Amino acid sequence: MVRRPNNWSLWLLLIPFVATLVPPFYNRVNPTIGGLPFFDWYLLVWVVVTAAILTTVYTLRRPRSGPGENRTGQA
Amino acid sequence: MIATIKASQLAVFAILFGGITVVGFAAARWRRGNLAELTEWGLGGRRFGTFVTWYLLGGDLYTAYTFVAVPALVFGKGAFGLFALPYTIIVFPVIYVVMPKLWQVSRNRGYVTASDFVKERFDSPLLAGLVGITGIVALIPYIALQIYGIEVSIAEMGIPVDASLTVAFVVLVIFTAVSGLRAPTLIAAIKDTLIWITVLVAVIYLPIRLGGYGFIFHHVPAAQLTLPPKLFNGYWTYALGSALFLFLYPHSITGTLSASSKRAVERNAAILPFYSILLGLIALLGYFALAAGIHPSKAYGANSIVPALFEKFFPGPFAGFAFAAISIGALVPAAIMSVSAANVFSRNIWHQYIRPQGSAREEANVAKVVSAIIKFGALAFILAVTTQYVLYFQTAGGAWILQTLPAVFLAVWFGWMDRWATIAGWAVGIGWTTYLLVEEGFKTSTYSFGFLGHLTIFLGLPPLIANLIVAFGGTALLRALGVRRQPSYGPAEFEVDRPAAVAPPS
Repeated sequence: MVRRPNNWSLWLLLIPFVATLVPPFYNRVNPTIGGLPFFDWYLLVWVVVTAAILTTVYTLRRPRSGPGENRTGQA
Repeated sequence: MIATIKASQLAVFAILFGGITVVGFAAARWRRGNLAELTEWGLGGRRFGTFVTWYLLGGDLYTAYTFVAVPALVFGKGAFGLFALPYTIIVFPVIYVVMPKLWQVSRNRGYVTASDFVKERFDSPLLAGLVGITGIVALIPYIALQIYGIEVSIAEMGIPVDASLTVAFVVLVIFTAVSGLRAPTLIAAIKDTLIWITVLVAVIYLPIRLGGYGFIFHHVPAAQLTLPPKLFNGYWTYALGSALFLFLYPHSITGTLSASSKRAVERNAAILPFYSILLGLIALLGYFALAAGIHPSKAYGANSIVPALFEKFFPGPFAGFAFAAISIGALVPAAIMSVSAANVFSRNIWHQYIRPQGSAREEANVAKVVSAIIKFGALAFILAVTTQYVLYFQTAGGAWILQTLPAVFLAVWFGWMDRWATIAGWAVGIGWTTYLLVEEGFKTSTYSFGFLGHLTIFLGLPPLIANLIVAFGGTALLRALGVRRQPSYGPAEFEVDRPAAVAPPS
């Protein structure tokens, strides 16, 4: 049997699209951090948040039992 | 302006460049395999683990576009240039959803290119050939952009541009032919180190010289720090379009398929964003140059501002280091791009249409020759065409390659798409995109669409939507007419390893 991964968690991956493709969410200069405008540091923070979301989805979708590596298929 | 040659700067540059040449040739011995086979020469034998794949893809995807074109755009158009950040954020969810499955099916069935997959998935050598040609055409101006990045750095050092570029290229051509994908992979590790050092020094040292971040952003015109509302739609469509097309390019697919496991590909989607931080910092150099009062050069316009910034503020030897970082940073993707375009030509055009009876050895030899031809073609392109056009052709390439999304990305998830409907969708998408680009004279890749209320957006997206409507509608129509097709294989091919990879389809 092929174990189907938890595809529901893939919906989490839509979050970065909403957060970064709607410029009115972050189209301003203040508050700055160390002189860096909000526009810039907001996007840099989302790089990190997106990496965290991907790590979460990756963890959720790994098969629970066994080492998980699909080395030997269904054997 | 008369440029002067600075000895220490040039020495550092020459030492680093010579060093990577040696590494390029030595790479043939690394994880030794039979380089007369295309899987070994053009895919590194699919043996790269999570970490090697990570720096290979980092070296592959973050190109002269990142180091030169993005800061130039920030310098010229302010926050609009930062669309590269949303782009390199949302590209990772796209990768995660598609590429592990594509890796698995390619491993199971011996695919080297996206066209190999398309050919079997749709049982259509024609669609595979169309996808392959689209990839090659889209890549040539992208390779030319890399050479342009090297040219900009060399020009800043004041050495003869054409002669130096030709030397750099002869070296690149030879070590790629000898070592295949192994050469840019090893050099990518050096590239990443050089680039990180350069960028970290730049974002720490330059603000100290200039008077701090507060001072820098105070001296950038306020209008450049945010996005005027009329550019919103251009901004998000550029970011979305780019994120969708990046992994359709043959060099991205080559980088992915060279991984050793599906898990390595999945993990890379989560750790590659590390490089996007780097991209964000590099983009800021556009603002630094504005605050420092850097003037764009006559020959290269805003694309010269990063080298000019380094030249003005870095001590001589470190400026040489930084120029070597940019040049090597451009050389690695150029090598991977030419290897991947050669893989596509050899398998999906030569082997498919010209000499189907050719041996595996011939397939690899053809790829080696073609990778050299493609590089010289790109070099000729850059020396012949007015350089400003290179950047425009590069974005045109993105709009074209985007039209292969249904045949490659969607076919990874859906087995029910009809081959003729998908071919028709491709034709509509490519036709419309080409028409728009011609109408714009290849001068920009945005278009003001009358039927959308004169919305100015990335011009590849409406053709993609038309492409999808034709592909899906056509499939539904053919089904209604009773045309059915059994998928060549089931979903398990995308999920689990088979005990042994089958022989490549021929």
